[in-house]
Order: sequence, then C-alpha cells, then structure tokens
Amino acid sequence: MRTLLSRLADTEPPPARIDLDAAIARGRRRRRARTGVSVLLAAGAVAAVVAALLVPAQPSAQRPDQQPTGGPTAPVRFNPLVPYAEFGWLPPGFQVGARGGTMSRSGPAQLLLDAFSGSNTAIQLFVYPTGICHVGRAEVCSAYDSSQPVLSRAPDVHGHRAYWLRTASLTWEYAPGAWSVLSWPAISPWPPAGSERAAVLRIAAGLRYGQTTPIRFPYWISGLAPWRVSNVDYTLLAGRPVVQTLELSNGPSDAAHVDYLDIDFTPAAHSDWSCPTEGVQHVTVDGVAAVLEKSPGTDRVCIPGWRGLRLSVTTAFMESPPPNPADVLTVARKLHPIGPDPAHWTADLLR
Amino acid sequence: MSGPQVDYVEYVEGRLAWLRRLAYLLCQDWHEADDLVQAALTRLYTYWPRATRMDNIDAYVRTILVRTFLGERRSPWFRRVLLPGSAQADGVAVGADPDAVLDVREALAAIPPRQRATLVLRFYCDLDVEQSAAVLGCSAGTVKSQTSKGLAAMRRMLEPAWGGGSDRG
Repeated sequence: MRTLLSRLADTEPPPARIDLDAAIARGRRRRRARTGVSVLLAAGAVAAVVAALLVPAQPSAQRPDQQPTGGPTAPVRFNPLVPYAEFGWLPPGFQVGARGGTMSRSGPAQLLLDAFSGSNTAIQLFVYPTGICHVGRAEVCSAYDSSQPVLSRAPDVHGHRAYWLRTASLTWEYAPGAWSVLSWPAISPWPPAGSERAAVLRIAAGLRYGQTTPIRFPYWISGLAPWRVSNVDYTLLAGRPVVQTLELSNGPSDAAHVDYLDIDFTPAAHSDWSCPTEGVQHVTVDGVAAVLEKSPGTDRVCIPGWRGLRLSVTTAFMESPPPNPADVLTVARKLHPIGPDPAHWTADLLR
Repeated sequence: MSGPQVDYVEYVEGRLAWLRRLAYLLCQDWHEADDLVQAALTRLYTYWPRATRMDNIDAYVRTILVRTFLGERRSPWFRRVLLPGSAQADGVAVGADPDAVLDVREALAAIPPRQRATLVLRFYCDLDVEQSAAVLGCSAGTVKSQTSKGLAAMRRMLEPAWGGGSDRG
C-alpha cells in the first residue's frame, strides 16, 4: 500500500493554482473574526481516544487442526456479539490480535478475522452468512460491493468447492450458499505454489465455524434503542474474544441515512490515552465527571474514571451532523461499567 | 510584510509540493487538491500564531488539511459522487506505469473518504494508529477498523497490482 500511494503521489502535478495572497487575506479576516475564540484544531488538544487493552493474544497457530464444525448450514445473519468463526491454524509467526494495526470485526453480514505477523503483514479472512455471496461463471461477490474475478478452480476445502481469486485470495463454500474468502499477503504469482499453497489451504481447512463463544464486555447497556449493535471490533484475551470497540448504528447499513457511534474503553489506570481537557464542556454521567467535546462532524463524551474504566462514546464517520447533538451523552448514560478486571466482564451486553 | 507573515510565506512555499501531494491522495484530482490546499492554508494563516508555537508545524498542517477534507465530505452541500474514472481528465502525466497509477487512483476514489484518509495517514504519512486517531479525531479502534476495511476494499479493486505484503496487507 505504501508503494502504491507513493507512486500515485509522485505523479507529475499540473502548475499549482494556489493563491497565497488570497489565503492570507481571508485568513486575516477570519483571525479578526475569531479573536478570543478557541481554535478548532490544536494538535495538543485533539485528544486521541484510544481503545487500548492491547493484550497478548493466544497464538492460534498453536492450536491443533480441527475440522470445520459449522454443520450443514450457515445462518443468514451473524450475531455480531458472537463471532461465528475462528482460525484453527495459522502459519508460524502469525497471530490474532489487535497489535497489527487492524483487528477482527464481527458484524451481521460479515465476520472479518485478522491475523498479523511481526513483519507487519496480515492474513484477512472474510466469512459471510448464507445468501450474501454467489459464485457465478466468473466472479464471486464481496462485502465491499466489488466483485472478485475467479481465476481458477482450487482444491476442494473439506469437500466444498473452492476457487482461486485474482485478488490473491481463495474462496470456498463452507456451507450451502455461504462463502469464506481468505486474502493472502502475496506478492508472488497467484495461485500460489509449494509451501505457500499448502499454507493457504491449511488455513482454509482449519477454520472453525459455528463458534458460540460470545464477546465479553467491561460494561453493559440498558435501553439501547433506537441504537443497535452494528459491529464489534474485538481481540483475544487468553484465547477468548473481548471487545475493543463497540459500534452502534441507528438504522440498517443500507438505509438512506445511518449514524454510527463508537464506544471505546481502557482501564483508567492506563496512560495510553486520556480524555481531552481543552475546548470541552464539563458534564456528568451517572454523577461521574465527564467531558463533552464537539468538533465538526464528531461529538465525543469521555469519562476519565468510572469504576476503574475510562470510557468514550464518539460519533463515528457521520455523513451529516447528528440529529440530536446530545446523542453521545444520551448513550453514555445508558452504560453500566463493570470494572477493569476481565474476570468480571460480561457477555450479557444488552439488558 | 510583517515578520510572522514572512515566516508563514516561507513555510508554505517550502511545503507546498508536499501539501499538494497529500491533498491529491485524498482527492484524486489536482484541481480539487489545490482547492483543498487553499482552504487549509487559509485556515493555517488564521491560526499561524498558534501554529508557530507547535513542536511540529507539519503535523498541525496535516491535521488541518485532513480535517478540512473530511469536513467537506460531511457537509450537507457536498453531493459529489466519485465514480470510477471520474477523477480522470485533469491532464496529468502519470509516469512509467500509467495504468497502475490510474488503478490506484480510481480505487482510492471508490472507498469512503474516512477510509481513504486513514490509509493515506497510515501508509503514506507513516503515522501509527494513535497518531492517525489524533489527526482524524476518532478512536484508535476506529482507525484500526477503518484500516482493515480500507485495505480490504483496495485489495479487491487492485487485484494483481496489489503487492502490500511488505507493508501490512
């Protein structure tokens, strides 16, 4: 990706149309108009709300191979709170977790499993419920609205038909009408050969479907409506899934307008991120001090210490300003923190 | 010109090429990139006294640029639809491998602005997750999930050109 972006950025630009005098004149007028007004962007004041809990994940590579356990059918919709599949085998050096800059993501129409290596390469596995993908004569669908051309037939995976895709991927029908896609960090020719081919097929064969272990949360939520759980970014703690970021939405993803909220947390004792202190409103959540930060398109409420947790509710990637600017505060007040000890966390999120 | 204004002009002249390239990665169109840079430079002048007190003015300007870009995409009046190929026709010489460059540009244009900005920050600006989160004004978790989705989308669209194995994905 770095190479591709650099190559694109290095294209020869046309002559610049920048009018520096105009920028200065307009800037000067704005400066006068805003004298005494806090600036929007102060690097020190733009607090990063970091979902931390970067815990060592149990390497899936150490688990024994196991046949898929999904049975003859797959659901038509996944429960985002219960990841439907997990890796059974990974090549040496790869592990599941959040330290690679990406993480696994569980949603109703797609489960994304990320495994990364120390060399910063990643294997991505996409699992779709029944009916999402269909293999036609030449291509298979993806969750990103772009079809993936089929390159050739691949060896069956546990007796199920499989295809090599031109996107350095392997896809196979793990249950009738339900497909998985394994994306491989390959530079070499595709389909792969030798040990690389064997590794790809072994990962595919080792996937465990029909998992029932729910994601655990350090908080629970009451009266969530009209919001709903749309995705859960999670990692593994002692081999069990734990939330990193909970994404809520107020409508189906294909609706004309959908807003999203992210709920992040970290143990309050951790110093990896903190709540903003500049340009904020001071509020309370359940009697606990909190701050409300507003910037264009993004509202955030941050509670620095609440039963040993630091919690943040952020509007995420909204296409328009929220209908109710207090939404983040409303949702924050529905949270019930449990505490920083994972032993006490709950899988019973919505009550 | 006053001293601060001279400093501002000197800074901008020294960084203009970098700013235009960064804006181009976000917009995939040089004219729009120049508009974006113009808006960012106006804002930078507004806050220049504060900027000069920053340890890293480049980081501050980058934040202004990215947030200006995202702010435009969020604005209700912004109704531009980026279709594959629509970022073409600005008469740009694309170097030795024009097809590959155009593919990347079209692929970038096809993913949501937030994902695009995340990928540019992570893989062009070499920012880590936390730094990217600070620029975008979101959580690190969101940066990670946007990175995952953006990489996956790019991977699918770029097909054989994809060679990200050495730099995550």
